[in-house]
Amino acid sequence: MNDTDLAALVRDAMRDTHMTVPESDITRRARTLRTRRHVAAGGAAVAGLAAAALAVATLAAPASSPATGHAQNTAQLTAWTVTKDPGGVIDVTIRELKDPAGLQARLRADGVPINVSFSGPNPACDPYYPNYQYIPPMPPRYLGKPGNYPWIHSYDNGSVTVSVTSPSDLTLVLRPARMPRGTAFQIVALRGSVVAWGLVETSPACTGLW
Amino acid sequence: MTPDFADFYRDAKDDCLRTVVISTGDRDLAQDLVAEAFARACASWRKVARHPNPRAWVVRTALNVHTDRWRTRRREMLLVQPADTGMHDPDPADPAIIAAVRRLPERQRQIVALRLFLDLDTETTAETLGISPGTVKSHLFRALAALREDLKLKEQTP
Repeated sequence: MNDTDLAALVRDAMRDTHMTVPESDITRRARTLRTRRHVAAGGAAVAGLAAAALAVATLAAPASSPATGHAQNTAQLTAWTVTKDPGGVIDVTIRELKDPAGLQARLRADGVPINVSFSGPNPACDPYYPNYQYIPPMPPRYLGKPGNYPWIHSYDNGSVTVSVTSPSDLTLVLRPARMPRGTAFQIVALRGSVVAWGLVETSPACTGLW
Repeated sequence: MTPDFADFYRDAKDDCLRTVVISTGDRDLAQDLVAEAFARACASWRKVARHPNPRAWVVRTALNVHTDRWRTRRREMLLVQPADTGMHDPDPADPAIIAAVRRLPERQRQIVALRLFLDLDTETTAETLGISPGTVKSHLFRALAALREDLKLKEQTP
């Protein structure tokens, strides 16, 4: 029996297996997914994820550390800091939700395909299913208790590690080399809180010419 | 021109289901996973329609959903009973063939399914499963050899 005959046998054995779910059920579920995505990425996410975002919402205090004595590959502002090590790993510390365009430009210059928006989700960015992550729920016991930090999550194959090292510091460790091909990173804040981050599809409108 | 989702669903649903049935070994579960994957495809149809192989996207998504659910339920399943990996297709045309496929390791089943039911080439199969083309070739070679041997033994059994 050659490979062609074998393949035909297997195909034939499955000929009576049919999908019985009507298309109307699929499109109904799709509408639910779209709605949930928009809600989660939009204003309702602030309410739904308020607990998770609280640590970030307290980023009002400006950093007091001076912008001196830093290596050449470090950009430091009061609002955020970007540091790239020789291995290509990039640390982003956000203390204040200001100058998203500057943060985005700095990260793109460091080789990270990224979209940063501090005024709600960018509709041009399509989440990279199924890996898109919103801020994972932070246990309530962590809130407002600096002794419980650091709080660290790593996901998307280690392409990003998120840590809240103190009530006033959110740190993202980005490893662009581990990001799946064709994906970019997205940071979304709305009404003073970071509400979502995760992988999105690269596209000129979302992430520029990558 | 972007194909219509309804046309895509009508043309691709059975092949995608057969691929995932072979991969997971459970028809009901596979139908649930494929339905969820098609719903996600529909929700992002503008993007998925531009994918080089939307059928492969659906199958990959279904398998990812399966992995996510398995991780979530692993503890519960261990507490209840060992997972039933039986094929719940009520009337497979040839139970011996299905049983032989079922005995293959999971990765080999996935590769056989992608190659046979979606007609994917080696490169696309490798990309879909996140493994190297060489791994695809070696797994496929072993899978076909095992199937051939299994079916030969069946024929020889009185």
